[in-house]
Amino acid sequence: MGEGSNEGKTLGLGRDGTHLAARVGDRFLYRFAERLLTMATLNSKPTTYNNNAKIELTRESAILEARLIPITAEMNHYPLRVNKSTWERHLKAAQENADFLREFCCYLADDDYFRPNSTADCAKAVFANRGIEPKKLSKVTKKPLTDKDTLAELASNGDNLAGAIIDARSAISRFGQLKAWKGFAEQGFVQTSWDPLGTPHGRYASASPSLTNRIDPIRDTIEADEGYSFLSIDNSQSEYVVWASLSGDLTLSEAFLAGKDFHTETARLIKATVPSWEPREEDERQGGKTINFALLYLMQVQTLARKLACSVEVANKIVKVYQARAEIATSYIQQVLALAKQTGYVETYFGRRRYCEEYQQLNGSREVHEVQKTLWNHVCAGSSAELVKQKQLKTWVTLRQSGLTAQDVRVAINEFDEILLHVRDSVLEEVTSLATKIWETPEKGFLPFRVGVKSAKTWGGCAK
Amino acid sequence: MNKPAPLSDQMIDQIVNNLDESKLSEWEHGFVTSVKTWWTKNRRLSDKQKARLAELWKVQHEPKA
Repeated sequence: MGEGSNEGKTLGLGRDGTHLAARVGDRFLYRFAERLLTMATLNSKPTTYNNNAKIELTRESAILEARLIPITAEMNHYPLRVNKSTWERHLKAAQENADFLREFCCYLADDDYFRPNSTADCAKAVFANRGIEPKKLSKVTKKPLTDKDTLAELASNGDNLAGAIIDARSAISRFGQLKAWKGFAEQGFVQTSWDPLGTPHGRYASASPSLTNRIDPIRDTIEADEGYSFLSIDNSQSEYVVWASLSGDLTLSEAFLAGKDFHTETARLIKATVPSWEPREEDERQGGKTINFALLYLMQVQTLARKLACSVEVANKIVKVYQARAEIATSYIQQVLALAKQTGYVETYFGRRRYCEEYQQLNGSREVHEVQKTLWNHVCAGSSAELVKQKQLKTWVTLRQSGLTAQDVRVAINEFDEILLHVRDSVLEEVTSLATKIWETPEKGFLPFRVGVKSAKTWGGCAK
Repeated sequence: MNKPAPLSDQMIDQIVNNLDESKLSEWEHGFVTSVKTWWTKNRRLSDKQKARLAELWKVQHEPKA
C-alpha cells in the first residue's frame, strides 16, 4: 500500500490509542498503534471490564476482532450529519407531548403539583390516596414501589392513572433525550467513538455520545451527506435463530426454516395449549415475543406473569408447554451452564471467552440466577453479535475488493443486529445487491437468517 | 415426550450441509456421505435415515469442554 493511500482509510479505534492518533491525523502513529493492537488482540490475555467481566479472545474471535480494525477506524474517522430543523421539530413535539401527559396525570391524580417521575408522588396518588394496598415495598426505604412493571400490572387491570404515569414518564424521558441532543443539532454533526471490544459480550459500543438505543426522533435527525443514502441491513430475530442453531433444536429450527413469524407462532401455540392465557388479539404477537424473550433469557416465572399480566400459575403452565416444545433448546442452556460450572468459563461460537470463577463458588441464591442470565447472554447475544461482525467484515472486504472506496461506501453504525452503510447514491443499487447477497448467504453451522434491507436519507427513515 | 415430527426437506438440507464431518466416526462419515449423495439425487430418505441424521445433529450440538 502506498504511503498516501492510507489517508482517510486506516484511522482510529477506541480504547487503545489509535483513535487519538487518527484524530490528530498522524498516520505513522496510527500504524504503530494499529500494529500493537493487532498483536495484542491476537496474543490476547484476559481483559477485565468495568463490571469485573474477565474476557479473553480465543480461536476465531481474536482474528475477527483484529480484522475489524480498519473498518472501525473508518467508522471513527467520519462524522455523521445532524439536521437541526428536524431536531427542532421533534423537540417541540416531544415537549408538547410531555406537557400534555404531565397535565393529564395531574388531572387524574387530582393534584396540580403531581410529578410522574417522583416515586413519592406516585405512591401517594396511586396507593395512599385511593386506599389501595401496595403490591411491593422497596427493600431499602420500605416505601411502595412504583416501577414500570408494578404500574403496568395496575394499568392492565384498568387503572388509568397508572397507565398515564407510564406514558408520561416515557414522554418526559424522550423530551430529555432530545434536549440533551441540542449540542449535536447545533454543531450539525455527531462524531461518536466506536469500539468493537467495548462490551463484555462483544457488541460494538459507542461513546461520546453513545448511539445505542437512541429514540426514533434522534435517529431521524441523523442524515446522510448530500448525494448519499443510508443502507440498513439487519438479521431479523437474530438471537432466537442463534439459539436454535447452537442447540440444534429441530422444532425451533423447523419453525425458522419454514419462514413463519416466530413470535406469532409461539403465541398461537401457547394459546392453543394454555387456554387460560387470554391475550387480546392485538397483543398476541407481543405476548409471543415476551414469552420467547423470557424463555431465551431465563426470566423468572413471577416476572413473566407480571409482564403477561397473568397469574403465576398460568405463567408456569406457559413455561412448561414451551419447554416441552423446545426441549433440546431448553436443555442446551442448562448444559452450557453446567459446563461453565465445571470449566469456569463460557464461550461464544467464535471463541470469545468469559470467565466465571464466581459462578463456581455461588450456591442456590438469587445471585446464581443473575450470573446464569449473564453467562447465557454472553453465549447467545455474543454469538449473534459476532455473526453481525462477520457479515460486516465480509461486506466491507467485498466492497473494497470491487473497487469501492470509503468515499463511495463505508460502515456508519453497528447496533445490535444491524449495520448502517453510508452509500453514494450513484452506487446504491450495486452496493445493495452485493451486501444483500452476502447477508443472505447462510453461515456454516447456522440456520439462514431473515435479512432486512432498507435504504433512506435518514437513520430513522431506515426503520420506517 | 411427544414423538418428534419428521424432518422437513429444508431441515435435511440444513443438516447435510452443516454437519461437521471432522467430528464424525468412520462409520458416521460413510453414512453421511452416502445419504448426501442419495439426497442430492433423489431427495427422499427413509424414516430410519432421517432419525439417524437427527441423532447425529443432536450429538454435534451438545456443548463440550
